Amino acid sequence: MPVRFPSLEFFQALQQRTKEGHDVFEKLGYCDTRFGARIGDTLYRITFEVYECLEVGVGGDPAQLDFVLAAPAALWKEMIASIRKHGGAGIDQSLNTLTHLGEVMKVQYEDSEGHDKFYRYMATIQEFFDQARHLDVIVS
Amino acid sequence: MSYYGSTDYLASPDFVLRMKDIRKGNLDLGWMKAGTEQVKVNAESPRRGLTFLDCNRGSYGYDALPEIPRGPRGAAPRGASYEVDGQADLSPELNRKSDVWAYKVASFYEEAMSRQWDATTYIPWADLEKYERPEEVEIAFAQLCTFFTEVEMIATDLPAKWMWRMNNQFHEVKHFIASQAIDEARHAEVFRKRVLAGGVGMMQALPQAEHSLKAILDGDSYSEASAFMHLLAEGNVLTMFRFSEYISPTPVDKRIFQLVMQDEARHVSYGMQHLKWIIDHTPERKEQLHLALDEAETFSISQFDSALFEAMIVLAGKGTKPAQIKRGIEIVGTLQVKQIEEYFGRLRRAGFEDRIERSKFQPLLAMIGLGKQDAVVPS
Amino acid sequence: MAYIAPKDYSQDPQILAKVMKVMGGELDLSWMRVRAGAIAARPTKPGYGLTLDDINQGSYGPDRIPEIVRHNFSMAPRGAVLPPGLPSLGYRLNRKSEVWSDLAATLFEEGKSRRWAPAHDVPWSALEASERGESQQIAMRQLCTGFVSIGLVCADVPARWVWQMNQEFHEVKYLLCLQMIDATRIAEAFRKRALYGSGALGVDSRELGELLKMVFDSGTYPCASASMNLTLFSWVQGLGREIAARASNAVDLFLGTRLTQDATRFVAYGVDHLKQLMRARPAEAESLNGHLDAIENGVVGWLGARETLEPLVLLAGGLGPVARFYARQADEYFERCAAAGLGDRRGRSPIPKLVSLIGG
Repeated sequence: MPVRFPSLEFFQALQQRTKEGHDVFEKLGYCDTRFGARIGDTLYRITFEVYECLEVGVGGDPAQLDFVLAAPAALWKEMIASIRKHGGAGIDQSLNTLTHLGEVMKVQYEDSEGHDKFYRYMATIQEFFDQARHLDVIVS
Repeated sequence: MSYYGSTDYLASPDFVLRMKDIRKGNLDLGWMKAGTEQVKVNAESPRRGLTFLDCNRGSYGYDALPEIPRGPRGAAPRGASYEVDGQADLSPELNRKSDVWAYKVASFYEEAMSRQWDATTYIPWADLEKYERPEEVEIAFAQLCTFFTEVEMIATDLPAKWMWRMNNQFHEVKHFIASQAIDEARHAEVFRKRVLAGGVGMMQALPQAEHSLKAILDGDSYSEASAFMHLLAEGNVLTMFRFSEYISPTPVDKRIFQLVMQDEARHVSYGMQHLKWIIDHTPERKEQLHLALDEAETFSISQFDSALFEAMIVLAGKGTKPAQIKRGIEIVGTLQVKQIEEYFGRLRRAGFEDRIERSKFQPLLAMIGLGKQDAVVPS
Repeated sequence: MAYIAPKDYSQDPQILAKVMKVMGGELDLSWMRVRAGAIAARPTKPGYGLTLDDINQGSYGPDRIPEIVRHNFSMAPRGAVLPPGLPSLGYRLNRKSEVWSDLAATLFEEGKSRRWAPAHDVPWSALEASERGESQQIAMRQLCTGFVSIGLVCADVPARWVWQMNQEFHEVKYLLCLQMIDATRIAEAFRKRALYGSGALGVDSRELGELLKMVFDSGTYPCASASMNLTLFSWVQGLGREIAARASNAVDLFLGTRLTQDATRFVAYGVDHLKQLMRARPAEAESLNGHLDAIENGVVGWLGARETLEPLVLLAGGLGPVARFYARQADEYFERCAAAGLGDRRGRSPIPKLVSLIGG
């Protein structure tokens, strides 16, 4: 069934993928973090525990999150399109590349420890978004 | 200079008699009455499995571990019954919890065990030839990876140098160090493989970096060496890994940096939490740490002069044409300020913010036109 | 700080000038011409990935390492260009035969690929259905207590030596890092085994402590390697087989099997290392044999200790099976000593006398 991006349904579909594709996530190891994806003005929160995405939601206090990846909606849409085209983020569209200089996508955080969790679980978080390759996404 | 034990067993009448007794079926079974605490231990999360957090119970746990565990100096596991006078003394030198401990260290270890990966099979090496790489970019990348191959083993050698001197009561820390040792061996391995798969081969070693490595290895205490290595040096390398992922010429390289970055961030987190533990529990050691970091920062500054610096510029600009160099300089300049900002952020998180004012990086930032205000991570 | 920079670089105008020059766009780029030798290694065996053997070609491989390394005491990678000004990091193991085994790279690759994590790979809940009696439960926990001690000290032994090894021997250094985590995992897994459910640790064995101190305090690396890898781990491997063979539940079967696998890598390195050392420097045989005479006395103490032997008897249902296990394991051990080039140790070792005392 097609899902619209951005939407809560999109993140719920990714959450489901962490269950269906659990082998991939188990291979990457524990991932314990609550982080956010701010797409335009909307904040989506994502909670990982052990190997799996436990919860996704909209809104909430960003200060309660380890870090927030924030970018204009157009940039997120480009990233999702790249994932769908290449079967995973293209060379210019990985989360680290987009966030590295803080010019394109920003990593917002309250404390260094939460910030470092972005790096500690980088491969899992990238894989979470890369699972969009399995979805029928309508970019709106 | 070896130890050969205190008993020649077969010449000991007691031992021989015991063997004969056992042969007759007479078992002593005194060990069955160990008198150790019985605890309820189960996996709180079946998917996570049975972790050290689940085993943190009573006399077996780390919460109950005092600053100075008096008595145990041998191989007896924490919580086992042992004789203070009868134990074989391994002469541990680090016997204070604050010498080695870090908040969350048990979690870091479990995370490390769960997030192990294999440089041989997790990287799509065979794909490397699918991607066109300009020769000058590959040369610069080879220099970068030669550097990483060179420096990564310090983060094995330094903790190993101290691990065997730690009292076995601190086994969560020792386990974490062992996990770091294999992480770093894997990093040295993956970068060596990348250099030798790239077509250019090894480039030159960097004397400036080597002097820093020597200073890390020769640290006077574990905590001083940890502050230098885990917090400052690995923090710098973590930022460089992010940079390297950003400028990676192929998806194969991006994969490498995504994986090494995770391990490095865990090591930096341990360093930050060890420093925080010291500041919270033995604040009198602050001045000693200041002195160590004064010198550590001095060594770090010396590294600005190296082939590495130029290689990073070539990589960031994707070539050596003037416009590419210009773009490369902008990016590398940003990276270097970011390294310092993130270091200051970690000092702040560890409760060591008074270090920021005193830092040797401050005059440097001022000289390149960045004031103190700019060099602080916004909170 | 023990090592002090020759100047305070934060106040060094030369450094700043160099930085500003480069930041101003004046790059030197002469380093781009300083290369050691082109190579484009690729995986040679499908399915294995890119192994250390695949990249060990020409001057980058270990064949070119001289017996005595005199050209590099820094952390520069093997085969890199060594510019003037590299400091010495004070390595004390600079002789190839002191540490080398041709198997090191293979064992490192194997160890990584066969890794496991006690937290989630062991089927812990199977212990709840275990049908062992109370005394057997306590016996198993007592054996676990010993394995925790072995794991702790045997992680420290490679740690004690690895930082003193010249970086030219990086395959061996990688393997020692693997040994650190393998031994750590033994300590972790058996600690968790002892505590799971309504668990407890047992009694620290004085004799085991003595043996571990002898291994830990071995005066040279070859002596440490012989005593830990060859001698101690031959017996640890045997105990892994014994635990797996006597297992009454899936956990003990799993742990016994994994212990056997992991311990065998220690043994394989130990045998091959000593074999190559004996080939290069046969005169070392006597000092190593002398060292093992004492270590084997420690082994006799450990195997005869009440905290080792009695739990094994309870788990096996009598002394007979344990005596046979000791006898078989001793045979395997002496075969390994001979394969390592140490000759027939039976005549000088105290272990056969112990086996005979208990009727094996």
